[in-house]
Amino acid sequence: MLEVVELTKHFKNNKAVNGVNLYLEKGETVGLLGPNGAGKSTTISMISSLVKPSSGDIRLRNESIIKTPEKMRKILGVVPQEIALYMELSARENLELFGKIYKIPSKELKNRIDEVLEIIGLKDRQKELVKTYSGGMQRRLNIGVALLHEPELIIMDEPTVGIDPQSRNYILETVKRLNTEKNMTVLYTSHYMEEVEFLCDRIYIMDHGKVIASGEKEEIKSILSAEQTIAIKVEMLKGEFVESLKILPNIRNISIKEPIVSIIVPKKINILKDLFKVAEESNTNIISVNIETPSLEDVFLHLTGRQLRN
Amino acid sequence: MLRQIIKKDLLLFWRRPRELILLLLMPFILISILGTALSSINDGKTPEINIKLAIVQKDDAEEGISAVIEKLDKMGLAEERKSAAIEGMNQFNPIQILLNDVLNSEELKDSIKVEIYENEMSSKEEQKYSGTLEIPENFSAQFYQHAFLGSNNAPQLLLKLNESSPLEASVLKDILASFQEELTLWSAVHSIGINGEELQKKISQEIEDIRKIESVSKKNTINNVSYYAIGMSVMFIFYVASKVATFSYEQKESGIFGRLLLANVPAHIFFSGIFISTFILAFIQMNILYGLSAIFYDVTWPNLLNYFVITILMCIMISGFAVFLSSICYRVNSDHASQLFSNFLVPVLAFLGGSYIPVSQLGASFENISKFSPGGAGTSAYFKAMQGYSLEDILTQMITILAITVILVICAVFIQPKRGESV
Repeated sequence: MLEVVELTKHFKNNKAVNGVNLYLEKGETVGLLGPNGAGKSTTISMISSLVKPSSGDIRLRNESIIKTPEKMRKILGVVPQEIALYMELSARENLELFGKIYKIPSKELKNRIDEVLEIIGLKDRQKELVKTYSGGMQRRLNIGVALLHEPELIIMDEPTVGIDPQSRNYILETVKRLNTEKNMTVLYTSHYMEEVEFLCDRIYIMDHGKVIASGEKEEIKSILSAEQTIAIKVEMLKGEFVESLKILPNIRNISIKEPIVSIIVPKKINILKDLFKVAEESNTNIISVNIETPSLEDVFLHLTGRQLRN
Repeated sequence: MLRQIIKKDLLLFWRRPRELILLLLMPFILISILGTALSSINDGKTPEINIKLAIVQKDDAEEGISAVIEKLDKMGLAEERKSAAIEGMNQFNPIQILLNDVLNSEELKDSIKVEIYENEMSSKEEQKYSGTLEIPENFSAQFYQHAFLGSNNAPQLLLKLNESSPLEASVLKDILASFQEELTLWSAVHSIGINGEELQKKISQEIEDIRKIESVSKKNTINNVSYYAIGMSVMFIFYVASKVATFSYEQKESGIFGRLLLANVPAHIFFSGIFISTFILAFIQMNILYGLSAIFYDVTWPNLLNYFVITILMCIMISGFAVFLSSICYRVNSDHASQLFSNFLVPVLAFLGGSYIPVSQLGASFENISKFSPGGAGTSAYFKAMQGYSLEDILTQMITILAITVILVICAVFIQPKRGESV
């Protein structure tokens, strides 16, 4: 359905996106992962025709849309990272405004608005001003506006940033439902690996403006198939302990989410003995040790040397 | 599409009470405070002019003409030249022109009451008048002889002014001095053989000009509240432009502008929406402010059509400012331009335009600069309209306002970011 070929964007001397290739098949949900500044938003802006690429092509059903963005815009819904809503208008007024701008006939628009309000769960509070909504409700309406004209392809740029877990789950379920029930094609970017794992069939990992890995979830995880993740939960984390871990041989990566220190090591290496020795030397009490298959987050760390949320 | 965008802009403004207070309540409070508190020290009222003029008529024009004809006969001039002189005398009677065309003109007759005496007046009697004009014996004869025979000096009218009423005396002096100058010029030029008909036309024009100059005193006066109603309204109309520009930039910052573009709303439609909604907001603001001023302070316009024409032009110019500022904000990705305009430029434009104090008090060169500034053109147009001038008299200000608008819109078009320039 959509193909992006060698997409590049320069801003003065800065290459924000550097030769990105990706594709989306009809009805699939694709994840675009990357830390801040990886070039995800610029890529999305180019795909959605808001920003003109410096070079490369974007093809919709084998037809370039660089010079005719209207074709793309007709079938596209975009959920921006920002809350792109009029705060002084109610949910219904926002939807009515965008519906009329999309030239949806009045009769149809009313039903469409009711349906969208139902999907995003704001029917009861449709007449209240958006500025009185919680962050989660605003995010839901942000999605609702993008759904109004029933797009075939929806691009979501970190749609769950800064909201409570309940609203986040609601949004994820909604996206899943749209994909399965309405066969909507979704390009989803996120900082949250678990969201991408939950929603996406395929994943692109971006860093420094380039796609550094792509494929189905399992394919990507298999990048670390010869590795294992050891999650060490400690009573109190000490710098000395971490420093000693770093100089142990065979440790690929260390990530810390206090009080858990995760290390990636080759499966064939038994590192537990050294691990306990280091803990003893640094007076660190280990509460538990879990040996896990590497997650996408571990793959990301392995590929970029950075964590997704930093 | 455009209608939706305008409707949305108006609704957003309506739901921001802070902005409404700034744009409506604040100027009205300032009009009230400045208009009433400063009225004692800066009252724009000019006193009524009531001139009483006594004319002591010692001259007999007919006698004068006969005397000159007699002299012409004695001189044995050619018949053609003699007839031309007689015709000239019959057509141009200086005293009748003074009495009928100048002092009894539409513009002056309500301000000047003329009483004619044939005999000399006593000093006590003279005190009752703003001035006494003596038309000396043989005035006409001397005037025509000077004009047609080139003899003697041009005769003089004798004016005595009553210094106890200086304003009236001064106005009277100016009117009669101008008249005397024209007469002297006419007779002098005629005496050296310049075409009399042409000159007469010129003299009539000069007399007309004298009337025009003096008719200024008959224009409506602008009191203090009216002055500040105009001054503050013109100042605060600029804030509409800055507020709209800030709002429009908020739409870019929050991603709404991108969302509108994705809904296939062309950028020029978006900016046209800004132009039209600014126009509507400014128009409503102006009418509310002048409406309230009319209700509470009796600030009225002699000709409503003129008021509306100027208001519409002002609103168009403000719309130009709004689009221009929005374009800068979009270009530089910041609303600093609109803040700078609001915090620094609006007060400067207001000062330059005479919103705080009359620019005439700041010197002629300042007045000239003011005339061509956005605020100055606006205030000056409103002041003139309130004084009762016609649109023709306000043409310079109207052209200035339109020219500024055109420049702003052209600049805005060039400044607006094109697709692909920013995320």
